[in-house]
Amino acid sequence: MMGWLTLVIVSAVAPPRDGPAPLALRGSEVDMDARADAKRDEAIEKLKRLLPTVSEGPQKAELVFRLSEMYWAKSKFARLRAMQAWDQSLEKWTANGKRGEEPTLEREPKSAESAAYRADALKLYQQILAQYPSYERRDEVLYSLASAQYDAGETKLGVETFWTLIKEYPDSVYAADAWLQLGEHFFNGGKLVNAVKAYEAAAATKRPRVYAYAMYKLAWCDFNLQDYPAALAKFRAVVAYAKEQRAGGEGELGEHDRLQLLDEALNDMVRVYSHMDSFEDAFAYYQGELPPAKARGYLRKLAKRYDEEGKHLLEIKACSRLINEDPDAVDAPQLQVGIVSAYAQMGRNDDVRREVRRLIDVYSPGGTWAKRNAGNAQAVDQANGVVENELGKLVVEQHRAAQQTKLTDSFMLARDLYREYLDKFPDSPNATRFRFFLAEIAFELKEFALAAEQFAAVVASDPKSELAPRAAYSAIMAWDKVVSGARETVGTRIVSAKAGKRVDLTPDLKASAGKGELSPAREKLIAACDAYVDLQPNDPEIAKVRFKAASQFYAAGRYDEAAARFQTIIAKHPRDPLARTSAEAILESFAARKDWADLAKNARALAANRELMSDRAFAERVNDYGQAAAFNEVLYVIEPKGDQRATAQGYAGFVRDFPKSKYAATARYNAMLAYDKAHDLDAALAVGAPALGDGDDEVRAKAVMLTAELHERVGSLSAAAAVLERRGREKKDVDLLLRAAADREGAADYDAAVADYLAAADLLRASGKDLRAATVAWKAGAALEAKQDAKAAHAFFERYANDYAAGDEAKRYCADYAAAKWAGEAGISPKVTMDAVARSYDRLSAKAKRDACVKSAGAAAAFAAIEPDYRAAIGITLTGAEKEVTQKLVKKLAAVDAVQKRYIQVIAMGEGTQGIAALYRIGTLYKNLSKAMFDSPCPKRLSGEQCSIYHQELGDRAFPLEERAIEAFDKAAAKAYELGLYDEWLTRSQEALKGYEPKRYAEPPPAAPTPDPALMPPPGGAS
Amino acid sequence: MRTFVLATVLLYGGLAHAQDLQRGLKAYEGGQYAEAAAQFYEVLARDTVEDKRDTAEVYLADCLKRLGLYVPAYFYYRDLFEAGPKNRFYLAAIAGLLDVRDALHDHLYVAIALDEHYDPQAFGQLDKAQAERVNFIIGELSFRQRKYTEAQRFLEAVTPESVEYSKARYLLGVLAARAGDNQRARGHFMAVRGHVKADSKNSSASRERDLALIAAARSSYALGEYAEASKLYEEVPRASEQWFTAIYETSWAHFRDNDFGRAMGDVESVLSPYFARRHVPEVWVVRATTYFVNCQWDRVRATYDVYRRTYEPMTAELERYLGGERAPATYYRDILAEGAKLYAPELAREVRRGQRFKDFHFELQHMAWESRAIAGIAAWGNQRIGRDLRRIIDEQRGELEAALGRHVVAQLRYLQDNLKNFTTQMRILDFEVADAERNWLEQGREILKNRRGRLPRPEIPSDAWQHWSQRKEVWLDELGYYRHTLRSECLRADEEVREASR
Repeated sequence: MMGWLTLVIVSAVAPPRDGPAPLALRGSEVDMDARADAKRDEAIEKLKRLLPTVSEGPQKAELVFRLSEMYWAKSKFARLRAMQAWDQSLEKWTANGKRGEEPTLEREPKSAESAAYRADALKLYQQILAQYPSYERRDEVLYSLASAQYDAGETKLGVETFWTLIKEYPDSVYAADAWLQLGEHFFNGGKLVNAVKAYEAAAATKRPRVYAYAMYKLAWCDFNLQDYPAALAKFRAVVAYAKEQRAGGEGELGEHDRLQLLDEALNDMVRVYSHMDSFEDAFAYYQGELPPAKARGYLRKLAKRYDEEGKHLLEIKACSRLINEDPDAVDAPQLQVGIVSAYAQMGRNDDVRREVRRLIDVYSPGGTWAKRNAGNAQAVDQANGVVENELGKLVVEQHRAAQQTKLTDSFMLARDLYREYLDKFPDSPNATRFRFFLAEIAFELKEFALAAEQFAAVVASDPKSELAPRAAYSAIMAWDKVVSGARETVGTRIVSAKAGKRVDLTPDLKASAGKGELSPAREKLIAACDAYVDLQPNDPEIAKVRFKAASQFYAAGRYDEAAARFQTIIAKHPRDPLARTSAEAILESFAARKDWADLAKNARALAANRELMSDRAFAERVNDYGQAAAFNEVLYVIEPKGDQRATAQGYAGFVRDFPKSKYAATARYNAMLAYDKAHDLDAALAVGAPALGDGDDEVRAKAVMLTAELHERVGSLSAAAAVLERRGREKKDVDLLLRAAADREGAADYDAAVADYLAAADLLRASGKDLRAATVAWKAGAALEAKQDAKAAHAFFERYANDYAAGDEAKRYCADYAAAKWAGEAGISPKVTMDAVARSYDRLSAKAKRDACVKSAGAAAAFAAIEPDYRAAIGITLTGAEKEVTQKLVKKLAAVDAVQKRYIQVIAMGEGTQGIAALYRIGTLYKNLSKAMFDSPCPKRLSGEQCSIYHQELGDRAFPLEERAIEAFDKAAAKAYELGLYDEWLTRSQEALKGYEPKRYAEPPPAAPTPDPALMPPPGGAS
Repeated sequence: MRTFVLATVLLYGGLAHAQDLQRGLKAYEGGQYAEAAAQFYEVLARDTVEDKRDTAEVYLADCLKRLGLYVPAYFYYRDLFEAGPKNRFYLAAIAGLLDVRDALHDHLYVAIALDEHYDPQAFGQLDKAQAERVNFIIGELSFRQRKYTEAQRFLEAVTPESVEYSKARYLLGVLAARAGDNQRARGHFMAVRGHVKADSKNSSASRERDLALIAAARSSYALGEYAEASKLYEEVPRASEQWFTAIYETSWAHFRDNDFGRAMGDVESVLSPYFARRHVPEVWVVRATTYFVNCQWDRVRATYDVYRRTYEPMTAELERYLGGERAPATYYRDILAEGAKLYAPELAREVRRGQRFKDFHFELQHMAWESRAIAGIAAWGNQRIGRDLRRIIDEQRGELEAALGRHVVAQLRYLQDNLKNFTTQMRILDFEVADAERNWLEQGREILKNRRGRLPRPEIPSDAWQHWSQRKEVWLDELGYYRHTLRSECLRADEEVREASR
């Protein structure tokens, strides 16, 4: 960074801009090539090695400054490279269809490198300022630092440093530059008042380069503040200064800069004059200050400026004045074109027509201007060219304007101008082109038939012209409009799409199929398409055109002809998406006719076309057509005939042919149903087996249920359970698991049943249904009881008491009872003994006691608790010596009485089974007592007869006892009948009675069917 | 020394013999200085009468001086001098010291003794010539000790009548230059030029004149008067001791005067075989700088290459050498052994070329000779005088050898600093070349050199001049007068195109 070496203002050939020419460094704008950069690297490395060996002092300060400047240059070079790389990345990205992330300048590696070098430079500038306060180039360092900070985006710091420079070194040459930079800062930030102060301070230094640019920018400040007279005065001052510099020949403003500054100021002045609407002053100034040719050049720019700013009247005045001042000037035709154009912009169509005529009359060959310039053949030729070209351009522009404004009047003017032109220059090379445009306008004006004819004329006049293809295409569009039958009207504005623009030629076939007829318009449209195909066989969209023609047949319901053309598309454009659309159209036509057989045949034919089938989606659709055809053949052709086996076989055949079809699962299920209806359950199960793990979930669910049902119907409960379990576990379906458990119990597979019940209980508990979970879990215990697995049952119920019965005294009591019961069976000491269970009954709440399970358990416990005393009572034998027998009898009578009372208590509990059991026990007590008495041996002291008398006496006493036994057994049986409790106690009672009254019970009643555990009430009545 | 003498007296105090003094005087008058010295030595050692001892001591010193045994003579003179003005042989002792100083080329001992016991009142009794010599000696010592104000005062007191005038003016010029007053400095140097005639037969005076011319040229250079500087350098007689320095240094003057051809001619002279044993690192700086300002980047690089290969290893060697711990006398001995293969011989030679080194070295050599001479004096046989005097000389010699070693180290460090400085300058040039090439490339200018065309003949002033081509360039005349035809290659781009089309 060496301060700004040379003021460079954008050249005259630069694109138009809306602001002043930028301040730039010519030296740093030079594109440094890689060799220079490599040299800089070399110099940097040498300097870095050198610096540590140099003693502190001015020389070292100078070298550090040099190094910092090199870093700065490196930073700028890397930035330039980053921007170049970014440009390339953007081009590449755009060429690749803008796929992926859009490249950014910041992500270019060179950007980071630039930032790193800039940071190095900044660091060194600051180091110099800190370590070498008396360094003689300190002002330059400050300027470099400020510029670097500003460029690095640290604008605030940069501005502060510029201020520091100005304060510390007000007389430095860099202070002037600093003022200028501050001016730029404020100007670019829109702070024009501050910018003016800064530029004024810069100008006050009177350094030519700075002064000239500062004045130039001051003029721009005035311009932006809309003080146009002041801006004009300053631009004029800049011009005067630039001229003076040339006169003096001295100063820092180089010739190149001076000329550019002069040109820029004169150019920018045009802008000011335009704003001030003072073209008279402009004429006076330019013509007074500049040679006529140069002045005319700037005034032409002023006229153009008026045109750009829409000041058409001023433009017309300026052009007219320039023409009038020199009617024979070579630029007169161009100025006349400007007048025509201005009128056109103003919408003064009559003036346009008049000025166009003047343009043709005066400036075309034979015109007055042409005659006066006859000696200048080149000028005449050029003018003729201008007339024809400019008129042509004018027409085209008018046409374009009409297209933009959509104003019908504009279209009509364009149409008239075309006609004017075609009348004047019928053999012009433009004739074909303009006829084409005329056709286009006709299209815009909804004169489609006319448009089609004009387009056809273009094609006919020059089939090889570059417009012929577009004309031919537009003819298609025009006929399409006719075919569509839409009645389009023209209002004040034209809003329809213009002809020739590529539009979608692929209508919705399903929507239009068979609805139209092959009208004459359609025939012409088809002919236009065929003509286009002949003309442009290699058009990338030719397939669409063919499709357009084919679709006309399709729309007319002439499927065979449509199919033939669709086949052509498939054959000629196998890679075009329309080939597949055509193929689908063919298939769809069969589907529309419900011609399943042909549909299937064509689908198979298409499936063999590898090229078409390379598109997965298309292939799926074709296969879908094929499969749908096969499936529908069974569904709509075979099944309605009522032959279930044939139907089932049809579906099975479909599955065999299309095992991976999306209809396969449905077909299997349908086959199952059909086989079921045909009473071939094995076949039904066989065909349905794959459906259990196939197809959509709904079909699978149905298949599972039907399979389970079929298995259950044939008694294959385990198989049914397996199907239900798999589905139940997969879907976490409690009902399926319970049904599986029931099937498992039915198959005596208790362990599996227990697992199913517990799985169901877990699912219920997981869903917060604890009560039902407890009920279902109890069934697991019941299954273990059914299995007679005492140990497992005991263990289960002990766990159950904790796992499911916490806080529920009824359930807990029942579980305790069951655990005690099965512990007894297994010979295990239970946690809660049966006695304890029996004793605890009285402590239960009334509500608990109402619970059926509790009632049953309590009674059973009470019953079981009597069992030892019962055994003891019946175990007393009436044997021994007479006295001993007497004692035993007394004892036995007392025991029987006591036990009987306890059994009566059990009966009083009102629980059926245990009540019947108690009655039975009472009966057996009396039966035992009476039998003991009957069987009692005769005392030895008695003789035979005495002994008979003794037995008679005993018999008399025992007989009533026996009656009581029979009564008890009777009551037990009667109660069992009453309650429908056909259990072991009834059987026993009946057996006992049978011993007393054999004829009363000839045969035991049939065994009661085992009820479905699932239908049993849950323990405790919970449900 | 006074202490030593007193100890001798105590040892032999009871054995004084009056007749020894007489015998000594008689032998002295008869020119038998060795015998006389032995008698005086006995008196000095044994006589208890102070005046007799002083008499014997001054005669002893004189005898020793006459025998060329300056070092022991210096000791006895100094002993008497240190006794002060009340001693009746005080002035004789000063005269004796001045004689010994001259004979030994001594810069150290006599000056220090005079300075330590300087008594303006007593010294005022010296005759004018002696007094001015004393003033110069003290002025020079003060100058060495960097007591510039004191040095200025004593040196200013030396008048043109004094034999020390030229030296005093020279030192005054150096003082002014060090104070930054080059104008005044040049005045002093030019005073020497005016004081000593160009055709003086006095070699010492001629040498002083040559030195003054070079110093005056340096002042002119410092004043930016490069043509004047060149002129003064050219005044140094051809083949004189200072001629080489004059050529060497005038190259910068020519360079600064933009007379690059002559600057390059000077460089060529310095690098000629005639001066092959000289230490000339700076000449490469001159050459590289000259090429640089003429935009001959490749030649700057080539010059830097030569410098780098030659002097960077030399600098490294010297740095290693000076980084080690050595006894001071070793440095002196290594110089005598041309660096003892520990550093470049040209550096050792450069140190030895210094006048101060030469004087010290002479003094040491003389001491060695004196020691040997004492052993050869038959009159002293196995007497104590011989052993004592040799002991004095040996002690003094060891001391001086160490002092000279320190001087050598200082000189080597000076050379080392210079080498580092030149290396830095060359590296800066190397960097500047890279940067200049970068600048050219940025301007779109090629930096690769094509084969250079032969340059045209230079302007020949007269038939007395000859020219011949060397490396496609033209050189005039002979050693010391070479001129180079150097063409600047700092062409503008358009000039470059023209040049290429020739």
